[in-house]
Amino acid sequence: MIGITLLLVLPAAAAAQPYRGVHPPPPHKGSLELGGGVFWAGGYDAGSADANETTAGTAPLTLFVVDGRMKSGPGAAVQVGVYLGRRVSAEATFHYSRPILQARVTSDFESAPDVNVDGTVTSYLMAGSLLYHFGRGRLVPFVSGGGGYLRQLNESNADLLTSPEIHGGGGVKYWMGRGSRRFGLRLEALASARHKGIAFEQKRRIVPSFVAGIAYLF
Amino acid sequence: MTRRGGSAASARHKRMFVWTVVVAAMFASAPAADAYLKLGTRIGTGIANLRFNRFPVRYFVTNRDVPGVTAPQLQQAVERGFASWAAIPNTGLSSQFAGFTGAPPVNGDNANVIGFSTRPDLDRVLGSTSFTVDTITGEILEADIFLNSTFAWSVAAAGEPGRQDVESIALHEIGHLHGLGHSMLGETELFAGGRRVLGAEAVMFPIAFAAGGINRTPRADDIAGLSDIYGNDQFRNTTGSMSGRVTKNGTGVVGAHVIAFNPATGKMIATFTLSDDGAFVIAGLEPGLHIVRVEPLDDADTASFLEASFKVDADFKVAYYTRIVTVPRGGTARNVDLTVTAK
Amino acid sequence: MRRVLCCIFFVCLSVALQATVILPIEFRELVATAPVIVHGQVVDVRAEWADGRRSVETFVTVAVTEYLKGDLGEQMIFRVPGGQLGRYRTIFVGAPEFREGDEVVLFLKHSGPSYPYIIGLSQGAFRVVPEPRTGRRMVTTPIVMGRGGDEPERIVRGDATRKPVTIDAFRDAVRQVLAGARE
Repeated sequence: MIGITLLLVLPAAAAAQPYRGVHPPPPHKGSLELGGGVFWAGGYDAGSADANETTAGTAPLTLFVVDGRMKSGPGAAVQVGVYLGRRVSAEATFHYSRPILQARVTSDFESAPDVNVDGTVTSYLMAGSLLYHFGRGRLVPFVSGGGGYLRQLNESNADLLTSPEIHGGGGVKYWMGRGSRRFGLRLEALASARHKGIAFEQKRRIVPSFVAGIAYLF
Repeated sequence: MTRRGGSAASARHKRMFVWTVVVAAMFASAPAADAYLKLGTRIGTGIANLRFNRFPVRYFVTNRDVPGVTAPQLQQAVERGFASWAAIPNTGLSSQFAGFTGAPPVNGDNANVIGFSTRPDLDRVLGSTSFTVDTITGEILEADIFLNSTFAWSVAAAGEPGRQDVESIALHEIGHLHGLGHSMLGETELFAGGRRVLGAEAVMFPIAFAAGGINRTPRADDIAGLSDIYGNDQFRNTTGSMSGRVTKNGTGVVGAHVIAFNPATGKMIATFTLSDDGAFVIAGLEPGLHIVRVEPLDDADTASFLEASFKVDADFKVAYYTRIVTVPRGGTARNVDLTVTAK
Repeated sequence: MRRVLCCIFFVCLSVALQATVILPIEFRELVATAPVIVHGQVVDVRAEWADGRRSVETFVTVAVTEYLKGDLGEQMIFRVPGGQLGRYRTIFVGAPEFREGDEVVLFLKHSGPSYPYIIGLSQGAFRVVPEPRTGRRMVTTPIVMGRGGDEPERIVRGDATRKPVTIDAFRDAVRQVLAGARE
């Protein structure tokens, strides 16, 4: 009976004491994590097209050639996550960026100089992810995967394209402080696959991005 | 005028479909109304586009053979030409062959006649369209198409070397019959003995492919032009337009040829700047991203495209608009302003 | 009722003038094939019935400044299809229009006793207008002319060498072609 009493008392006593472990206390089920930062999205080939005129033969006459590329560029990222356990969290992510869609116009039939023709795209990504964290302590690697919804508008908001996307990646969090509430730094690399977007040619594309920011766990 | 063909023919001709002219341009109009070169005439103080208001268009075919083409073959080619335009959706065009006639395609008989005619004075004209208009009422009394029998013609399915394709020329002239002007979407080259078409992305390009070549399918530019005249709400709700100006040293450029290219579809649609401020409108565009190019009308008689009173400025270099233009569905991308420099 | 037919008269901001399929002609060929090349000023434009009242044509009278080729007298008359008679207009789409006072250089042919006509419907009609800024008389219709070799030459829009030329330069170009043809 004394042993049982001790077993019952000791955990209670432990819970009542301040945490004095070597590592910061791990998140528990229900812990929340907020994050924000910047990301850099990689560019991608936006498709090519020849401005052709019909001829009497089989080969068309090319008036000019257009090669499109979505240029890489920065954006802002926000994450809101909830831990489902010590290692697993579910996260909602929002990315905002304004990349430049650039068309390189070449091979003009009338020998006009090659020229870049640009357009600014406003891109929104709303996604959900599952994260698995490895280990414990200050430096916590993780992997993530999920899916979301990409929305892109042209510079005058006159066009709207949406596409589902799936992504996967991984990164590391570095927690500072010893309390259960603490700030940390977060670095992450992602690959996002989508089959539509503002481009000259619609096809499946994989867009890499790198995220750096801060996180707050509580 | 003494009518030809006797009283029965005259009565029939009086019952002929008579077109009325729509006075369009003198009123404020949506951008699409001025988006293309269209045939027209001054009626009183107003300006009227030539267009049909009632369908089907009834036409006669001159009962005259030429070497290589019989009158029935001509009629079949003409019928295919009319059908090609009528196949354009959301325009409601139709035609009706009213029979063969001994009358040539000339004016003064109040009948729409299409046929071969010997015109040695028009030695470099393969075919042409003519209208007769009452300038008081605006009524179009008749329209005729002649194909010049001084040339060699063919109705062969794949064309015939050394002979002009009847259906290709008929298709072009029937486009004019419906009120379309010329398109400048084409390139040419000089060669020993003359000038020839290298490529054309409109059947309304005024120069035919060399004899033996065929051009029997309306392109995006033709379709947009015809839809601009006859298109219904469905057409306007599913397409978009862009508007802007072409300027040089701050001054508007008249007669500049502006081309909108959609890389996703490969379609090109074009227009001219038609006012002193260099303004233009391109309508009938598929929604989406476009590259815009401007070039001068400096390789042709401007009267091939624009009325002689236009003070066309062709002294500039080919240029591109530096922004990608997104054309909205059912709307207009505005302020597409291109700056050109002198040669 | 006697009905008279007239030339249609194209205007309208969105109106095209020509509705014709043509075989284009290169400048050297134009110079070579024209029996008459005349520079002058339009002094009269008159539509009349022609061809046994089967068509309306416009007869244009030109006070001749000079002949670069041929000679049809101090005043000459040529014809173009279409015209306006009374309230009715006949449009021969593609036919050039002329007004009194127009200065023109015309490349003409004639067949038999009939009035001469412009080669290629309008291809043989070159307009001369004063340049607003300088007042120089410029031929606004472009001269599309090759180098004269056997190789095809692409016609490039925006070509810096192809600009409106003064009437003197145009005249010289015609004479050069004529001289070259005689060699």
